[in-house]
Amino acid sequence: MIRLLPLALASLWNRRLTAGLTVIVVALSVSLLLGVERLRNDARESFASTVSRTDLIVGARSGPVQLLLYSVFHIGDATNEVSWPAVQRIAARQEVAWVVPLSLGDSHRGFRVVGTTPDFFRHYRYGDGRRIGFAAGRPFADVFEAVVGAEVAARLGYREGARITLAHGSGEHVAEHGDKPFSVVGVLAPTGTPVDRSVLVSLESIEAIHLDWQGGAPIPGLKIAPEMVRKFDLAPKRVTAALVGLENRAMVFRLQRAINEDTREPLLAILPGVTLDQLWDVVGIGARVLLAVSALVVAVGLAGLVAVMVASLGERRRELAILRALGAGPRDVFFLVAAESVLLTLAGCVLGVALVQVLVFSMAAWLQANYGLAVSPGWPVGREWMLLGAVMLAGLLASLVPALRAYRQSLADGMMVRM
Amino acid sequence: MNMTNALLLFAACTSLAPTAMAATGHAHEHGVASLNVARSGGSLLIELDGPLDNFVGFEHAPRNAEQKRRLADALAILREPARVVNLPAAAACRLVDAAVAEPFAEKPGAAHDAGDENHADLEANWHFECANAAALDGFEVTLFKHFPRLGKLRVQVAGDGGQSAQTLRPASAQVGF
Amino acid sequence: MERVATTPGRALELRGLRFAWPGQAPCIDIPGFPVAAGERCFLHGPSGSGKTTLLSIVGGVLSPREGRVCVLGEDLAQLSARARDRFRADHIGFVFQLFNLIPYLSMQDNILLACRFSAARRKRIAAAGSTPLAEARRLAARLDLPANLLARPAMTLSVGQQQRVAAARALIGRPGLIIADEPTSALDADRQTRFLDLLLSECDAAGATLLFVSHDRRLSAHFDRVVDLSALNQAAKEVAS
Ligand SMILES: Nc1ncnc2c1ncn2[C@@H]1O[C@H](COP(=O)(O)OP(=O)(O)OP(=O)(O)O)[C@@H](O)[C@H]1O
Ligand SMILES: [Mg+2]
Ligand SMILES: [Zn+2]
Repeated sequence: MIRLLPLALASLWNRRLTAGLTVIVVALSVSLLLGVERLRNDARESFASTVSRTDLIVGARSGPVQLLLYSVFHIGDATNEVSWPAVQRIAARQEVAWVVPLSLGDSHRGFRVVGTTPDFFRHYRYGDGRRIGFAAGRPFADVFEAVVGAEVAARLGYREGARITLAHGSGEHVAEHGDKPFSVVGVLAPTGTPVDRSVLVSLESIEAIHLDWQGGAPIPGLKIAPEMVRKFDLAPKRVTAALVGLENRAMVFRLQRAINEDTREPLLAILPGVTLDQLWDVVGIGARVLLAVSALVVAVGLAGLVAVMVASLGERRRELAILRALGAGPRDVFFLVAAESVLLTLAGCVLGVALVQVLVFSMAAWLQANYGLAVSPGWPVGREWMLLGAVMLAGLLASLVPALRAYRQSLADGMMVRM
Repeated sequence: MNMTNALLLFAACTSLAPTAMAATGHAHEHGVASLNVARSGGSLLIELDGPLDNFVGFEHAPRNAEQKRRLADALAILREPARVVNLPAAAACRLVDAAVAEPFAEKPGAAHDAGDENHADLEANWHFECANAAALDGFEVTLFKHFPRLGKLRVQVAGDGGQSAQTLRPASAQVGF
Repeated sequence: MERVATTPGRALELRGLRFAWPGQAPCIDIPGFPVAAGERCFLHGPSGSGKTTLLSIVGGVLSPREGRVCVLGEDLAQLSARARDRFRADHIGFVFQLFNLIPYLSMQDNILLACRFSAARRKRIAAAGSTPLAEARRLAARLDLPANLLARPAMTLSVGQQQRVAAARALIGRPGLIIADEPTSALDADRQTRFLDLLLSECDAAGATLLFVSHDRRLSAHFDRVVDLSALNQAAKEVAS
């Protein structure tokens, strides 16, 4: 039987145009399948690694997923804010180890501005508990000092000492806080999280640029020069959300309940990891649908392969009859035709894997920049091998169709083909 | 706005209602209960909260001897942690504290928990201290065996290794850290 | 198997052979037909008289309804379908009227194809102190096929060349029986005799029995024995009468 393999290869090579096209169709479908799976996994992983060691996120009462998305992923906007006294009350609780407030809403050339405290650099963790590192400079220490994320620096060419202005809001038409420029005092090392795309300033800075603003617009006639702002009370009044770390993790549900049931202010505390899992249960449905559609595309590819193989049998009746005269049994003919189909599937899988590598490799930077997704090229892993195995199995089953046909045909034809 | 964000926002909208309820713990869905598992080193806190129906088959104050017995049986099971969870023996865990809120008890504070005419919840919590925290890599929830009306547990896990949401069913009742 | 090929006496023995295609009147009914080992037998008969059908039975591709078919001392009825395929690969070389070759394989690979399916042929070549490749080249040279054609795809060869390649393939590894089914009918008169001469001398050199089928009786002069299938085949008489 193995002696037939070179013959199968030669026969395929003889039909290299149709065989090649078939391989390409299978390869494209396989690369779609693997690509979706890779994206699904890597997206989940990169989301899951965005926030770690934060026990609770507290925001105004809304949906937990909404709170998670706007506070750490910078997706969507908060509809309400948390009063500063509420943040202080939480920070004052004895089971609370640290609180990092976040004040969102402004932007800088498409990047989000995050008002926070220097504690952010101390307590924010990502991945498996890694801290944020500085590529250059230091945390902000004063008003009008900014720290930029790695991608902000790379894309806009910022280094320490760069002068930037912030814009109010984050939509298309933003009004500049042009009269109060900031200087960049630090550049963060890349983290693969939304921090890379953030401009970080102190809560006092956020207060300062909004002193002469009200309701999203400058107050007409009121102009407060930057050097004057220190004369005002720059203590924050409200923040968007707060990250909370506990002394003792075991207390997390009790604290969550205490915050959620606080009657002084409608607040919502969520466990980010739990909410992310719940979110993923929903996104996972979409991803699974996408995967199912890709699987269907693979089925279409394999159906094409079967069609091509079956169509070729008509032209190959003489060829198969010659093999019969040379001593090939109908089983050999069966094996030959099945082997050709399986070889085509295998070639499609190999090419598909290669295609995914090329795609991922060439698009990784772009995906990271535009979608915040960290995808990594590399050999197929875990489930991807399973998918490839499933494709091969399906290819094997599909190969039975032309092979059985060839078997019957060669039984009927014997050594003679009457045409 | 980009594609991923759009997808996530869609997810956020569609999942708003159920998760909001899950987070605040006020969903009342028969057959389902929520289990919070918080763990820090060797301390393990487990909180159970779910419709009373799951545990006794009715949600009103017991009206006859049979119902009284069922309620008493259920409370007795919950007060005995070995019948609720199966912690790894190697972890050497010891129950420090257990509290089972008794529905319909004639206490002023409990009136709220007993709920309205049609619905009542059952709440319980257990606090374990484990001498060998390293061996505590997960545990089995054995509640399903005693309460056949309970079909699903929504578990929120918060531990040193991270947080997760898990769903347990009678056939797969293992909580992992 | 080796024992079979060298058994002296009968190369082919048919007795009480009956065959009918499904749904058709009996096509073959041969009470007895022996062919001696080493004999060159010319079998002729009108078109449709069942020559090709008979050869398929001898080759073990078709099974008779009744009767014995002994090829080189082996009773084909005793063999399984697989064993008959093996037997054909090892001991019988076929040459057909046309379309003998796999078009996309080179001439050399076409010749070697017979060895690919038969370990016995490879063994016999090795026993003679040669290799399949050397043997393929030797036969090609003997059959007037220039060495520069060896690597050419079969489909680029002339019909005469193709028939000679088919003969080389049938002969390689010294099978005991060569069956030729009108191998010359696609050739013009000149090339017919040239081909026949080459085939006959190579069969002699290999010591193979030759069963040569044709309806062209002019070729019969080259053979030891001439058999009229219509005389042999009772089925044909029934149809005729
Ligand atoms: N595959 C087949 N299925 C059904 N009947 C067949 C088949 N092959 C041949 N026959 C029939 O068997 C009879 C003998 O055919 P066969 O091909 O053996 O004749 P032949 O002597 O080789 O003729 P020719 O000289 O034209 O090659 C014919 O009547 C033919 O119709
Ligand atoms: Mg014929
Ligand atoms: Zn602003």
